[in-house]
Amino acid sequence: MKRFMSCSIAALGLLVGGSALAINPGDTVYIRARDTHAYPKATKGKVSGTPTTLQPSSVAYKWQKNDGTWNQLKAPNGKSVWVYGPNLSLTPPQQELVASSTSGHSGMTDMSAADAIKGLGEGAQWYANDQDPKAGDLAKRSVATAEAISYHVEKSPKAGVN
Amino acid sequence: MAAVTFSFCSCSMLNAAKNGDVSGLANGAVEGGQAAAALNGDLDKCNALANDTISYQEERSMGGAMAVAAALHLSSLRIDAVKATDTAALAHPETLRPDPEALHNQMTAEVAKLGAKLGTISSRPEIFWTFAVIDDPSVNAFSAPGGYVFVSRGLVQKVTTEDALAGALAHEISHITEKHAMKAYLASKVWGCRTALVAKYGSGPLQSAAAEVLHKLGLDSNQVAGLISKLISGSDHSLNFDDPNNHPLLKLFAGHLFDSLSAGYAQDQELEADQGALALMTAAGYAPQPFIELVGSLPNNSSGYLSHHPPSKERVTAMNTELKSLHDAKAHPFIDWKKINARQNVKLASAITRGIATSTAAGDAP
Repeated sequence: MKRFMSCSIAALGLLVGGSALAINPGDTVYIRARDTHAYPKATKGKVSGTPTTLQPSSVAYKWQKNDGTWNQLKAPNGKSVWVYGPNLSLTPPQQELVASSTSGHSGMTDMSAADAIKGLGEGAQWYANDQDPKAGDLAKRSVATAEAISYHVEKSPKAGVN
Repeated sequence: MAAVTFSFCSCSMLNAAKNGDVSGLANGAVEGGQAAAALNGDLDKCNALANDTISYQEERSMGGAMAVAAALHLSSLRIDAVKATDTAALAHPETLRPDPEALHNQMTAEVAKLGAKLGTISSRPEIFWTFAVIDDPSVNAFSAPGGYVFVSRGLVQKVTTEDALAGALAHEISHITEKHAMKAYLASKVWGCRTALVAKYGSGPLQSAAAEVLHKLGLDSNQVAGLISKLISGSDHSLNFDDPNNHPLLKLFAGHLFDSLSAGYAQDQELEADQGALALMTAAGYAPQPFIELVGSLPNNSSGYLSHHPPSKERVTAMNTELKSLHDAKAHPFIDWKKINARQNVKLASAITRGIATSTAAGDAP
């Protein structure tokens, strides 16, 4: 009987559409996607206003409600923002120090395209030449071009999920 | 993916060591007095490298070496046509010139778009993800430390929907987020450390075998052993491979790691990557079924890279079980099943299919 009841409640939840999320107002959520857009307004499943950009972090937001795939969150400073569901997580994202002041991909996100093509570290470039002095140059350029394409695609607004 | 075997793998004892079983090297080293005791102490320090936390910088530079090794040994990437300064074309791949090389770049860009959607919401959103299509007719994929994901032309050709391709990319992304390649790298670091020390300070047949490994790699035993001693004596074991002084260590570790990655991950890691792929692709709004069907269609006894995967049937069963748990709305409230269920055979972007058609016309048929 108890099992039957819980099934019925779940089915009811699905029927009412927007409130089907199994999350409650006040529950803690985290931003897990890079360059997540946070909008000031959402109406009938569409967001509006000038978005701010949030980054993955352990900052705890309080979930308030959803409108389609958009979720209203309350930031620690009390402001409310609307964020795309796939960019949210119930657990804090893994955070790691990506940039370094030494070499390689330091500050890749701030690099120009010309710099991005140089993203392949000097060590990897040396390795390519050491493995095959003739074909190494082509291999280096191939990987560096793949890096540049991926970099620009990721930075293109059309590529994001938010 | 063709498995590439380097010439230093001929000795069975070193093969065992190469695969992470370093007991052969350790047993050989304990014999023989004070020097052996000192060596054993250092070999223990080599083992401790397995517990290191590797910085992203080190991970990415080793991944870069793996990427160029893949480009050199596995196939031609054929993605060198667009100039770095052609930023508009890179940002808007649809504007690229309609010649075969540009079409290949356009295809890579579309695959990268798909990959970016997944990588930026993965559990490692801040690392730099790089995607490329390898011009290889076999059905395969390859991931390297630091965010490098390569899929073969044959795989892209086999999938007919965006969702199946997203699943294949998500599987490789999961290997990186779960740091399977880093576990392999740590094993390579331990192996390289022990090999160098035994080559320099050991005795008997093990010493000869280890010295032969370094000789075949063109490495100087004294130099490498010196670098290793410096590495294990410090409290910080991180390496900057862009420093020319460390290039001998890069060569030592990278050859071993490339062999490991070419041979494939452990079966439990493959199952873990399947699970991660389902969670990631559904979070991004992709339908999981086409990916499960793709895995189910793979032959059980593939040669090369896929031969190390668990049988397809086992993978499909495990994924169907995982899929049920993803429907638990309490644990996964942000998966939009309504949107996912509405996706019906979403075809690959035309840039991908055109790129594939051009590649196939220009090269061998799969």
